[in-house]
Amino acid sequence: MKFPWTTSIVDVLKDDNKVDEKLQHVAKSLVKKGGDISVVIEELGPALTHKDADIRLKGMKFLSDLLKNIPNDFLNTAQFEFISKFYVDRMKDHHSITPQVINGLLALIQMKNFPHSSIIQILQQMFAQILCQNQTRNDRSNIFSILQYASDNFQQELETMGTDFIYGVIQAIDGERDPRNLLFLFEFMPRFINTYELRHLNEEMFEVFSCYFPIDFHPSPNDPKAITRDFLAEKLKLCLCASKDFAQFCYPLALEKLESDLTVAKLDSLSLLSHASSTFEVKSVLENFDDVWQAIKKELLPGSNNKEIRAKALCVISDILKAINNDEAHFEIILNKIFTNAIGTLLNRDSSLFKPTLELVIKCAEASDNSCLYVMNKVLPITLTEMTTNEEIADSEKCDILEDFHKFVCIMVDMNKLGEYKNDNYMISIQRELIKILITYDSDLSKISWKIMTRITPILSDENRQIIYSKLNANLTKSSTEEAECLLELAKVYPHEIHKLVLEEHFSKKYDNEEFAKNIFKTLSPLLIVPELREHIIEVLCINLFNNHLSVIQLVVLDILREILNSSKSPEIAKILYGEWRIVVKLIDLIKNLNIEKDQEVMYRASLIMSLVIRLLPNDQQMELVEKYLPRMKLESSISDLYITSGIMAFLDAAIPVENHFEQLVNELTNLSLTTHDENARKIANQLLCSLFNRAPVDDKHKKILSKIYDILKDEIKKQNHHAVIILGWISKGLLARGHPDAAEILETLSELLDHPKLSKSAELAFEIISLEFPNLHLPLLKHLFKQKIFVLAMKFLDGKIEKFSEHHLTAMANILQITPHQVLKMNIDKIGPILFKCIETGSDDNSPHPKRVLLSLKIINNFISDKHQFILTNLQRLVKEFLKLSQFKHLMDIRIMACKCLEHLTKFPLFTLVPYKNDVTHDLIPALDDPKRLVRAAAVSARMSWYLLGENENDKASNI
Amino acid sequence: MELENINPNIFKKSDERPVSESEKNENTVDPIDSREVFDLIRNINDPEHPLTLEELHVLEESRVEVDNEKSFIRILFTPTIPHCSMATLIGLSIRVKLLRSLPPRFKISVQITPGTHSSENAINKQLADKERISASLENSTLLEVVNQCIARSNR
Repeated sequence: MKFPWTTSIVDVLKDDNKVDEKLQHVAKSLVKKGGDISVVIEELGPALTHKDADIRLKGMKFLSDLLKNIPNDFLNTAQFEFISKFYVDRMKDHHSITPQVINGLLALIQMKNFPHSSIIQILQQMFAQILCQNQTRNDRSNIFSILQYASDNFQQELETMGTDFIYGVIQAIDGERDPRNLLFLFEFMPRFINTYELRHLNEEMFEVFSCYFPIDFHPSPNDPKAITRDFLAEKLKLCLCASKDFAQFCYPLALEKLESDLTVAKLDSLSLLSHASSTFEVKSVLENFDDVWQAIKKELLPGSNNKEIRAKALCVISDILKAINNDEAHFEIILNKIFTNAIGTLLNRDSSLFKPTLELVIKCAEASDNSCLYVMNKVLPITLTEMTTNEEIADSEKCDILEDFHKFVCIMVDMNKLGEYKNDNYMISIQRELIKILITYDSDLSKISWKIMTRITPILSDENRQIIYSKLNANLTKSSTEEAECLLELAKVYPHEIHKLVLEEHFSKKYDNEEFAKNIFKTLSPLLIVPELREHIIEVLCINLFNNHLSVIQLVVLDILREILNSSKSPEIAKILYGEWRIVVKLIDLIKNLNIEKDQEVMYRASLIMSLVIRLLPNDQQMELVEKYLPRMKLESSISDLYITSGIMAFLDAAIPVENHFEQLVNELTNLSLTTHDENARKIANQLLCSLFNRAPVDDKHKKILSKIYDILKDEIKKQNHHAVIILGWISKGLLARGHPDAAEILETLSELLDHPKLSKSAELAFEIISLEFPNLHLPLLKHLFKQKIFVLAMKFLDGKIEKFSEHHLTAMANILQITPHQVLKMNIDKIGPILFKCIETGSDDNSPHPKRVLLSLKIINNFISDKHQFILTNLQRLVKEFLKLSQFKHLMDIRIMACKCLEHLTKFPLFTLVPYKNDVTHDLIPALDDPKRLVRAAAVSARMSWYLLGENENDKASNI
Repeated sequence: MELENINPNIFKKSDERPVSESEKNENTVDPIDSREVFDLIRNINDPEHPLTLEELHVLEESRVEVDNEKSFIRILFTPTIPHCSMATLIGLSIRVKLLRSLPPRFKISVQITPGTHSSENAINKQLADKERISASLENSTLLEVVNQCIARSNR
């Protein structure tokens, strides 16, 4: 085909700046018309053979770009031959043309029909003519891509080149410095090394990579996609261990660099050793073990203080042991080498080497199942000797011995090796010693013994178990957590024994002593999770709840039930309690029959248990209960009905509709809350109101009900009824949490009431109700970010009035700020800053501020200090003054402590900002040093020391680096 | 610098003092007692090892005597070896830490446990001399070393 322009090609390339467009045009028409590329090349001839290198460069660029732009199945074999010959020839041309040659070759070899035979010629010429290191970054990257593509796709041909190919590659990649290119090479080379036999070039290849080790690289701070040092190091590690023949070079390299003083070098060497141990052949691991062990020993015993280095060094040992786990002959030799020194040290607990050695031995035990057995065979006799031979050994020391033994037992359990020691003589003797301790001691020593017993329950002998049961039985009413845990473990393994020997003997009657019952229930109720024991336990609990008329015992049972229902196993147990034991019906009967005057606490707890059980039931069962019981309730006349309603409603699922009962319920609850003299009942009623309004749908019907209630309450407020204000607070809490549109109006009313001469105190309380979280209050609908919404609303209504800084406004605001997420506070720091300052300000003595408010505000300010917020810095002078005053605040020690903490945290700010206040702070904290409360003194000492040591820590850091 | 005592015996640290109910009560007064003073100094670092004075048994609670009423405190410390050249520095660190942490009403005496150091009297005399103590703290290098011993105890 002909070129679509009239002037000669040379002139076009020389002057025309729209070559790209024309190129596209040529490529398209070439493909469309099925033209021959050799004609194009002939057309290009004058440019490609021009005497000016610049023109030749442009010609080559045109051709290479053309190759990139044609489909990859466009060329036939003859054309390939022709073009590749041409390119091979061009490599001898002027050096400025080389990049375009590489470019074209890269496109050429990736084409579909590229003849495999040509690759050898191309690569030979490339290795001979192009010195990779002389090219720019981009061109080097292209050369590497050619090598990668060729080695991945033309393996057969390249193998015939033999070592020439390997040598060429080594020469090309040697000395690469660009991190991105290196990363490319590090990712590709392990594959290469595994595919091609390196023959005598092993060492050369290894040298190419070893010169980078350990990697010292700092990414440019402006690089958006920076490659990290650790990433490169990780990849380099793979290259260094790519071939099994590298082992002979790899170990000496790692060991040499391990001797460096640089932490990074040490860490890299250790992780190289780790990787080497797990990848190279067992043979080479064994050959190099002596040297590695000598080096590791230096790092570990006594070793440095650097935890990271210690951990990595231990990892090496662990990896070696894992690697040789199956080689029984050598396994023991290696472990013997490690243990020659270790055993002596393990027997001498006072030695400073003891702790590191123990660490090492524990790591060995964790490494593999064989090493676990080996280590245990050494540890068991040592532990036994230590416990028995020395009679005068102190309890604390015995405790340490057992603590360490406990660690080994845990490893045994994790490794599933416990069973192997069932009949081991040492193990039996140790058990005997432990039992002796359990019988005679009652201290930390027995605690740790119980812990060990808990672990080894499956291998306890019958005889020992009997002793343990009797000891447990004797302690049922005063058992420690350790004993309870051991009992639970035993129950899991031997449920029938526990049932017969513990439950039937000691747990089957009505109790009358509160302490006694509390303890025995607490010990035995966790056994509920064992299915075989469940029935017995629930039965006893039920007897004591429903048939025992002692309210103290009933309270104990209810408490236990609450704990059970809040635990992780609760859904299953709730189902059984509801289905098999019909507990909800029984609780309703119980509440009905209780005396309102005397047993209100029992009623409240029982209703709580009801709600906890109902919470865990499926929705249809919940629905059934609502329909069955709610219509019968007469809230205004019967307190027990209120508790039953609360029991049903408190944790009802949000999906259960209660519309049919809604109006009646809220009316009765509001009246009850306004009129009753019973504070507990009022609280229950208010919480129910809050929860009901939270779940009510936003529609006209419910809005009407709300506005009716709102009107009633407003009337009451006019009559100065402070209960009405509180109810309003509760209702608004429920509405705010779900983001109800009418919530804002109620909040506004409440904030106006803060100015009210008589009701301001109640309004303040209402704000506190809004901000507090109540553990037994269930709000089914929570809107995303509702706390932010409350903050925004409160700011809107209170902001203007804050100017006047009335006491009640400040306290209300502090309550709201307390629940607002820190991020939101940060964004609004300009607005809330002045409020916070005003909140912590202490005026003249007679008019001391609300302590709770001060504490809340101090906590928020402390958060800002921890953030090192600029706002703190600009107000430092004022803050320091206030903190120092508050460190002697009379009425609340928590405020004094918090003020000291704030002062201490201030020292994290830059030194120069703090120095002006140093003398003031150290001087004015002196009174706090003699505070009557010890906790305040401790906080003051800590703060004062930090101010004395201003700047010291920075020096310290600098010297550590 | 050559270490004088290469492999010292390490002892267990005592647990943190639990917070009692009366300490949380707003209205009771907690007098300064020997445990509180011991807590102030037990974490001071040994100048030679990365260990605390408590771990090396240089300080023990039983050797801290506190009379809150009479505002008097006496502390006996035991150098790890009888010819320890660091004894004065350790004494000075204890003194400085206490000066900074206790109310000024207290009279503080820091001495070496009788019979545990070769030049016991000389060091006791140095540590009792207020002039010399304040003079030594004018020396910025010495102050830095003392601060380092104390600094770690504060973390």
